[in-house]
Amino acid sequence: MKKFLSTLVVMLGLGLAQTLGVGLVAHGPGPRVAGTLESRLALGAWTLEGWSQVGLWPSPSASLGFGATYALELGPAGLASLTGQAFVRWPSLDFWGRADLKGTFGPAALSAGLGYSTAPRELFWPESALGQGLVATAKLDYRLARRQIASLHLVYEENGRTFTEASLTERDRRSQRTFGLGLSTEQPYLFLLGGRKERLGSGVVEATLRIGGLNRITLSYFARDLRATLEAGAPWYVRGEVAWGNTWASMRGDAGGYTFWGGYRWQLDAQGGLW
Amino acid sequence: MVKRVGILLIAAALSIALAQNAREVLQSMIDTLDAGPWQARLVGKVRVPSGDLEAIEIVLKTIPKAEVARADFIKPDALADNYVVRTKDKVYNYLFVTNQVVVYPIDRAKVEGLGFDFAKGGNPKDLAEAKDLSWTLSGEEETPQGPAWHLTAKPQDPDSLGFASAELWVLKNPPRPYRMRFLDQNGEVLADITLKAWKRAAFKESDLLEFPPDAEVVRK
Repeated sequence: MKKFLSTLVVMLGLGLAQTLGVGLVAHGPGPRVAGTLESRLALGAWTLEGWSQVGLWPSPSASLGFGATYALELGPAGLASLTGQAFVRWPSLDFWGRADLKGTFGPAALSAGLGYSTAPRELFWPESALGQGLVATAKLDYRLARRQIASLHLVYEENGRTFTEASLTERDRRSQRTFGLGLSTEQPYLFLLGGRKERLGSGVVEATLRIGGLNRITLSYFARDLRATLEAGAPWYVRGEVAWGNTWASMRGDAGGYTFWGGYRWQLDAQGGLW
Repeated sequence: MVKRVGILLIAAALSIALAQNAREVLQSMIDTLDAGPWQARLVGKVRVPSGDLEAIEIVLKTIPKAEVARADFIKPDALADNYVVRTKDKVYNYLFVTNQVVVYPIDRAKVEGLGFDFAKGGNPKDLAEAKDLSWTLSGEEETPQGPAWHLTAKPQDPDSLGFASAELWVLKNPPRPYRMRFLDQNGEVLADITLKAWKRAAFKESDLLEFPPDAEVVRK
């Protein structure tokens, strides 16, 4: 086990060291505690990423993942990217693989993903809350007119939700209002979206509401160095995230349990900051 | 024979004099543009990959000293609310549909995104300073914004700049760009852009580098 952990540190910490993040995650009920390590390296059109989650308590375990993204830049018109990711977990030797295609070109934005996992995905990496088995997703946003965006969202989960949603959203960057009406294959078949942003200091406060099928309310504050989100929904769950500079913390709780995750990311190259 | 040589010599001398004038016109235009921050509305038509000429409208803001420029797209509708910020070392593309800021190191970034490359031809100063463009002063014209010099150029290698010939109208007072037109090898218009509402501005680098705080940042 020590040899394996040493290898992880060398491969992820030193080998891919443009962005390096460390974190601690706790899952419950149980509880389970694990350390996380992630790194990222951009090489021209390629971006290589590595992830590992090392179970610290109650029993030792480890997962290791690698990802590669090829991005094609299209200037102001958009970008396109193809990503492949693979995870493996010890000692159970479970695995998880996925491929994602994303593209934005002018008025259209498409994302599609296909993945298969032999174990619940949060065992590989904390951000992945969905279940195991085959998962396929597709989302298309198309700008019908300057303010109107039509969206189509398809999700198939072998052991979870499967639905198709279509919506029409009115979004205006200047008035900062969003309003949408959607149809879903899930009951009650109709949902409404609403949102509003207001400037507060150097940032913006955003409130969004969805009623129908998944009911949720989200409150967010975004500023240059601070991003915070609190969301609650029914069937009940609550989710919170805060990122301050390079430090972040997140939590999620629902009828099945909870997850707390926090950590720090270093930008180790000259391209580190947005500004 | 002597008369013919004389005519040729006079023609050659005139062309040298006009070439010198072209350089002077371009230098006076560059001096105006470099004197401080400015903004203009670029309005015209650009040939898109489908082959059609599409209406385009961009608000261009630049701080020459800091080498920062920002282009906010107003037309076409498909690109409206998208914008590009270019600094010395990075290019930032804001995409409205996905609410993303895509950040590229300058050496890996493309700025064209349309059939016409604005990185190579859309900046009047870069156009004036392009090494393989030899400008000629071909005359003077009256424009809605006043009298202007009309300059023409052909790149030695059309592939290097993305056009086979270029025309530039420079207003006389103050010397600043008024219109740019680019043609392909068949004489078809690739882009025809007029600079409207040109004015000095007082914005700072941080003003141009402002993005929606809730935008997702994607680093490449």
